[in-house]
Amino acid sequence: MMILESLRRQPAHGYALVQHIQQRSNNLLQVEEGSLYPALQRLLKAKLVRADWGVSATNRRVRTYQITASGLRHLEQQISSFERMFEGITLVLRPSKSTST
Amino acid sequence: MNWIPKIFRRGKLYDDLSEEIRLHIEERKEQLVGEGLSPKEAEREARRAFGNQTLVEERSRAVWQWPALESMWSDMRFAVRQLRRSPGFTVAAVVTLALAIGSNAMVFSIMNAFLLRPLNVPRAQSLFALFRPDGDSGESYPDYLDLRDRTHSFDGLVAYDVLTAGLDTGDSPSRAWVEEASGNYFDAMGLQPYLRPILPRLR
Repeated sequence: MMILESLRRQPAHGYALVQHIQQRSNNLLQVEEGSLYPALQRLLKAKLVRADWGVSATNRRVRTYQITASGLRHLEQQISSFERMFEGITLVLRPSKSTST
Repeated sequence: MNWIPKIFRRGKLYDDLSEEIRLHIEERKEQLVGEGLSPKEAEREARRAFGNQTLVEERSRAVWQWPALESMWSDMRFAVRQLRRSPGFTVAAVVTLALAIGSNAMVFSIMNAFLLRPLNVPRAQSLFALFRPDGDSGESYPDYLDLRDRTHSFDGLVAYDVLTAGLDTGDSPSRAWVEEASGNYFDAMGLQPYLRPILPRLR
């Protein structure tokens, strides 16, 4: 979901995606950089993203990932179900209002 | 059937993946060098941050594979390599297996022919074999005659025995398996003997 959201903002290659996710999370999410690649392959296989070799702004050879139309639809669904789940968790964790008299 | 071209495309997918990971680590390393690390330290730090590269590649490739099938295939290839390395063992294993399979097949063929498959006679499902529970020596002929004449449960009752006999065909007499049977054998079985009349009707 985080990968798709990052790619919705702009196409990026693997390294840039890692940087983007870490920066956006204020470095709260310190994931192993390598763990991104199996996830990217799953997204590629599901045709939620596509990848093309090209040259980056810093003149490096990079494989840039782009979100597809079905990737966008999938992302919307994922965000909406995540928000519902998050709301549920928040309600459960919220301190209950005391009704003592 | 779109999985067939996918198999051939895999080589490119894997190459792309390896190249991409190599470039990722390189980019990280260059960034760290830019931040003041020595190339050696930068290399180490870039690899540490990336994690286990072999494992990452394996997991990424696994996305495109059928894990159970492909692990079986690689097991088979491994077995073939091991067998090639020790031909003596291979020969011994193959011969042992061949003998075991051959003898099993033979025993099964015999069991199948004599026990499992019904006899090739009309109404084979109505054939029953009678034995006394208290002995294995068979019936006496007078007992058989009594049983045959008084049975109401069966259309007919046949007596038979299997024995060996000397077969003299002229030059070299040999031992042959013979089945001796009562005169009503063919009638009771519902068969026509090829040479007839073959058996006298005995009382």
